[in-house]
Amino acid sequence: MSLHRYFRCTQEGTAFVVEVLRPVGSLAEEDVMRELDEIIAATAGQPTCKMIIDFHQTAYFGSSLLEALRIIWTKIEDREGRMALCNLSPVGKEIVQIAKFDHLWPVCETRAEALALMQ
Amino acid sequence: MTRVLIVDDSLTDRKLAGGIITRAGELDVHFAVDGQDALDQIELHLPDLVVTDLNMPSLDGLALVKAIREQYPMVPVILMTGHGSDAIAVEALRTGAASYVPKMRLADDLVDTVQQVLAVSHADRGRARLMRRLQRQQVEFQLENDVELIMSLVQFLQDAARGMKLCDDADRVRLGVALQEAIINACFHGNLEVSSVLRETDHHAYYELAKERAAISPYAERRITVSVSISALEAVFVIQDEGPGFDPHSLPDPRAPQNLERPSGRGLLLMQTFMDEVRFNERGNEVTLVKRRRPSSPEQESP
Repeated sequence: MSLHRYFRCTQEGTAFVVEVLRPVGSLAEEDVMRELDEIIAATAGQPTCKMIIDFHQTAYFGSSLLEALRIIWTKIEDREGRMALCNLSPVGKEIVQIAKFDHLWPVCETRAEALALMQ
Repeated sequence: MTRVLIVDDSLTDRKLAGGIITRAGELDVHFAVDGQDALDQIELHLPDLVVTDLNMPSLDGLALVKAIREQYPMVPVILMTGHGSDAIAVEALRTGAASYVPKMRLADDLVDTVQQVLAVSHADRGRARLMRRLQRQQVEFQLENDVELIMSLVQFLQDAARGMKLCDDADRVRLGVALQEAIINACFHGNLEVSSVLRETDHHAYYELAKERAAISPYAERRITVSVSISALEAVFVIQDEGPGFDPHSLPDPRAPQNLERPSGRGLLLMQTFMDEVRFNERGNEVTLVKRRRPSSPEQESP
């Protein structure tokens, strides 16, 4: 079993939940890319994909994480996938809004709210 | 007198820990019955140290560590861990607890641990007080194209700005995000000359190319120079790479609806949003970021 430093992916019902464990410095770090590939591989077999990104362990992040979200999104949107973000800190929300990523995906206060939205 | 707050829902364990801790020196020991009670007491009177159980009703030890870390970062927390709570203890240490003592070893280890943590904490407070009296600091770093070094430098600069009371905790985070974006840009787009166009089509190829170039000439010899001047009024960060430069106006607006799913420009956008001033030199290989103290920030702390 590989150790997850940046992302932990679990399945809750029909949705995949990706917890962001720490700020991502750059996607050039091998662990980041490997863990990102694992998430993409885990969802690959699904005809449609519901993805929740949970930020409760990470108060802030930059464009590298936004880029990771964009990569995940490009892999699932073709399959009528859906994605939601939850548990963002005030600064985290600010960053998502600056990038206008809240126009792409709903931002929920809690994981339960995001799961309900995905049903 | 040094004030210690012991948090445990068990009266017996509270008394046991309290009795042992008084052996660590002249300490003013207080008690709370759970995490919420602890936070209520901390709000009224800030302790020098918190010693807490992990498993408690209302607000458990892990949540308490998180709350103290966020609201009272200078107050260290020691955990008292029971059998089978190793995983939560590791999580609490990751969250910011200073140390831990297994409950079955309280009598042997708690006094030493309290003394060690208090000694470090006093040194930290002294350093923080000294830093708040610093009027100006100027530093310059020259970095290889190494993400780990970049992250460490960002942390150092955040701490320096925060230490001089230039920004509050929220602005410290924004400052860190902006600096990280600027220095990572200098590394990848400046020195290693990898283009976002490639990232748009194949993100693996983009990072592979960066990795290859980091090891070959002329890219490998290029350095990032970060010159910093921080005063009580403003911080000026000048970040220069040794690449050919770029035209910042050539970047697409990442907020435009047609560009939302493209990778370019978000780093610059975050820099411009979180700093008071962002300007490039004519060649486009040097960016100057300015962060000014907000007028409401206090001039001086109490001694």
